[in-house]
Amino acid sequence: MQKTTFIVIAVVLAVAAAISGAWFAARLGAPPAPPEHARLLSTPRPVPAVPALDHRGADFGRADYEGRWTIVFFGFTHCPDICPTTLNVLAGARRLLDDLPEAARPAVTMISVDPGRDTPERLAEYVPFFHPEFRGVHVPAQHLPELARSFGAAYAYAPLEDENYTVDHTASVFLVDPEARVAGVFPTPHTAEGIATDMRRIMDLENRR
Amino acid sequence: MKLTCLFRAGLLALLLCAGHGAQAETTQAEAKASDAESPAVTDAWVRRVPPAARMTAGYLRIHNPGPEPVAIIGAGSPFFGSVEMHGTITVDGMSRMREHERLEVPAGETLSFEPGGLHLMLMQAREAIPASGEIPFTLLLEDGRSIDFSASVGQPGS
Repeated sequence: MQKTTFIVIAVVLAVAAAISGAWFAARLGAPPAPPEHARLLSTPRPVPAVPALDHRGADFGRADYEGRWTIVFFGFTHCPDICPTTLNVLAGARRLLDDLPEAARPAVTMISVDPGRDTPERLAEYVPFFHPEFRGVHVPAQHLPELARSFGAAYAYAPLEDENYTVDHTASVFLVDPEARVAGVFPTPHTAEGIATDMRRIMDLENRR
Repeated sequence: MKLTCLFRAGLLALLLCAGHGAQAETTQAEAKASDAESPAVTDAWVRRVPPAARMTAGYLRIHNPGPEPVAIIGAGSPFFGSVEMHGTITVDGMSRMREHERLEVPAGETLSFEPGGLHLMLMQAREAIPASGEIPFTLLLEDGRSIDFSASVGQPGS
């Protein structure tokens, strides 16, 4: 009788030790890998509250960033090369993260640096083409400088022929944390694999805090 | 600048017409150059864009097997009202796109038009930009020759 009790206790202890060992190994054993491409800010900056509309015409504000990570790209629809290239890369990165629970998959947003031509309707015809969950954001021209500045993004209008124009713009991709703060930058060049791997690492680091 | 553009556009229109008609106006350069030494275009594709897009970009490789450099001074397509050669340069994370009026392909070398770099900027689509199929193009060279090729509409990596 005594012997059986002893064995039961021993087995329970062994199992408990194994589980806690595995837990500690998972939590502390492997040092968290830092992101390879992204530069994380030591002091994240809150995204300012400026009026904006998403491509469906709904208000888009700080609350839309809260609760999940958001990848932000500053672009415009009359951009034949770098914007579709970047949006394709981001769509690839998002697809690589499809195994994550829905709430953990990062949102992707293109903020237009060309509010004069990029109405919400036009953004609706363009942005979701790359991925059905991507959101286009229209910020009125008078508020765009404040928003861009908070990200550290720049843009400038450059004339083309026939009164046409193009927009020089920051090609880096930004990261907004679930508390609606600008938390990091992916400098160029971008690859889907690089961004997806870094997103996993960044979310992993955050979960260990 | 404006005049040069008009001139180039005119020349290109002429070439496009000539190309589709009888090959009556064979230039001396064309007569001299053997096929083996003629620059050739490969891997040409046009980025598939949302139906609403007014413009897109074309990419290609052009190889110059000849002993002399060749220069591209224009491009055209019956599908687009305007085709320009543009280059995207990204400096300190800032992307700028500028027109190139002339691009040289050194002897024996290949010039690549690829995403994030050189591209044919395709503007003023005559009808909706097709989502698949082939789009015909002509490159105009400084020596009077031209290169006809077609580019398939698609998406990289798909």
